Amino acid sequence: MSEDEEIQGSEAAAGSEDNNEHEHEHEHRHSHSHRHKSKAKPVLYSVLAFFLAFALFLLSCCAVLHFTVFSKDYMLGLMRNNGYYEMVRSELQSGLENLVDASGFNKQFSEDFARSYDIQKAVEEYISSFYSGDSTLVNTVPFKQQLYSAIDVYIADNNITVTDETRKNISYFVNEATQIYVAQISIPFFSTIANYIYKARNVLNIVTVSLGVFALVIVAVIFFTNSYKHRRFRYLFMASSGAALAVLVLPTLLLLSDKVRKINLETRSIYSLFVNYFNTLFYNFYIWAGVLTVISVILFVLYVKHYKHVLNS
Amino acid sequence: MHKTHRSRKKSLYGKDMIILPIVFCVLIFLICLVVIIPSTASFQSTASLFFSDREKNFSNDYVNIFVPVEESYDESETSAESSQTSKAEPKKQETVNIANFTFPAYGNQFGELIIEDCQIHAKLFFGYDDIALRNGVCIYSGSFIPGYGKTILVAGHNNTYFNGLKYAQKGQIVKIRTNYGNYKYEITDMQIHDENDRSAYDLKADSENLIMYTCYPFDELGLTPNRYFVYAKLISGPVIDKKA
Repeated sequence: MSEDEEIQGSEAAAGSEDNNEHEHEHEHRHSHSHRHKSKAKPVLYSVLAFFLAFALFLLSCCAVLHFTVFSKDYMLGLMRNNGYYEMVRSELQSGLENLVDASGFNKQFSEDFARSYDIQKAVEEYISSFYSGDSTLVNTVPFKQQLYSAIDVYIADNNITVTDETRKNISYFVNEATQIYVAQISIPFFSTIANYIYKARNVLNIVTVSLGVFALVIVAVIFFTNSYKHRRFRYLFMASSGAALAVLVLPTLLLLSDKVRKINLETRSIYSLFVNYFNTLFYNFYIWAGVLTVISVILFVLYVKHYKHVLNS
Repeated sequence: MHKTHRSRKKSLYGKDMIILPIVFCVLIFLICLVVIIPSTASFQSTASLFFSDREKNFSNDYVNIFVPVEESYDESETSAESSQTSKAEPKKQETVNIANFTFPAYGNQFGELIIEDCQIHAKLFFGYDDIALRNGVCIYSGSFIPGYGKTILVAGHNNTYFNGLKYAQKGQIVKIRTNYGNYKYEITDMQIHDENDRSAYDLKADSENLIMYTCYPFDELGLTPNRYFVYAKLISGPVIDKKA
């Protein structure tokens, strides 16, 4: 490896000018067998550093997934902080108003059925059930009860004669309204995706631990088989900075593609949730890239410190 | 000594310290491309169906392209008089070049529908959606716009804009004003059909006919399974020159 030779060369250069003892050592190091050995070793360590970089990159991806996609709190936090419940309330209200326009009720009738608190409770139950592997149906009982009660009050207030036909029509109305409610509370394809997420969670934990052990083994090999301290830190720096670069590039490429904002989703609430979900996911990658960068800087400082120490000695 | 100092400096911040991390990064993505991308190809092709060329507009406003054109029919006509005139051929067959007006996109308001005898005066939209139905009546996008010489299927809510259809009578005049011409139709029939009865309308008809429908019975509580259809035939209005 050229840099390794360079360091040896520079060490030797320094030695040739400083004293004869070092010059002798320089000549000794540049003997045929040692030169052959010095070329193979850096290549081997560079390969190890690459494997470490790859492991760190995958570990970062696993960590980001663990704290975002596989976290119920991440999803619920996004919903709370980005006005998701209010958007769902507004869309539900709009859908019910449209239904009321086709069903003989007053405009005011639909005003009380979409309450942010109830929606938040229903959505949180729905999301939680996915992450705990339970059934994934939206609980429509409270909504239907509320609707039937309001219709009874409306009929009494307006002295409407209720026939069997009317009961059928009201039942049809309630079913349609409930469908709108279910469509607003549920997230499209989430039942399919969440099923995979639930099953993949254990696999992710195993993969993360395996990658962690693999990375530690490589670090140990690099650390304990290098006689010069500066070389240990140099390879570790290369690995961590390579991983930091890869972790940085991944979200940057995805953000630059501007794909996320062009997704075709039916409602504003789902669209907004999706865009925020992925943007926050990408920012999490940046955070991990930052962590790896800090580690790289520390390793570089240690490398420089030990390298200077070698030169001075 | 100077040369030695430069040599030290060069080796301290050697090329490998910069190039190798970049090489690692490139290699990581190459491996991902080779290993991960082919195994997720089917997922990617499915996912690509969810993306469009531009950001979706979630505005609750609709696009209005309706600019009334000068009335071409006789405004002084009453419904009774029109009943007589309807028996006669249209006075003059006007045409309108399809390239000379803005063809409505889905959800656009491009006209208005008026039945004075039924106290209906509604904005006319192309395509059904919640926003359009909340603001007026809508032409089913699988049917045709006025002037095309085919079936025009118009829907509206019975609690709002099409509540007046309950007063519809044979011989009454329906006026449709669009951004490319004004049309007059005469009501010929009213029928009640089940909501799933496809025989209530013929979208393949070769003559221009207007069909308006809404939920039935009117003013009934709840959603009803029947639909009230009002049929009308063309009296006057420009024909769209499709060849142009």
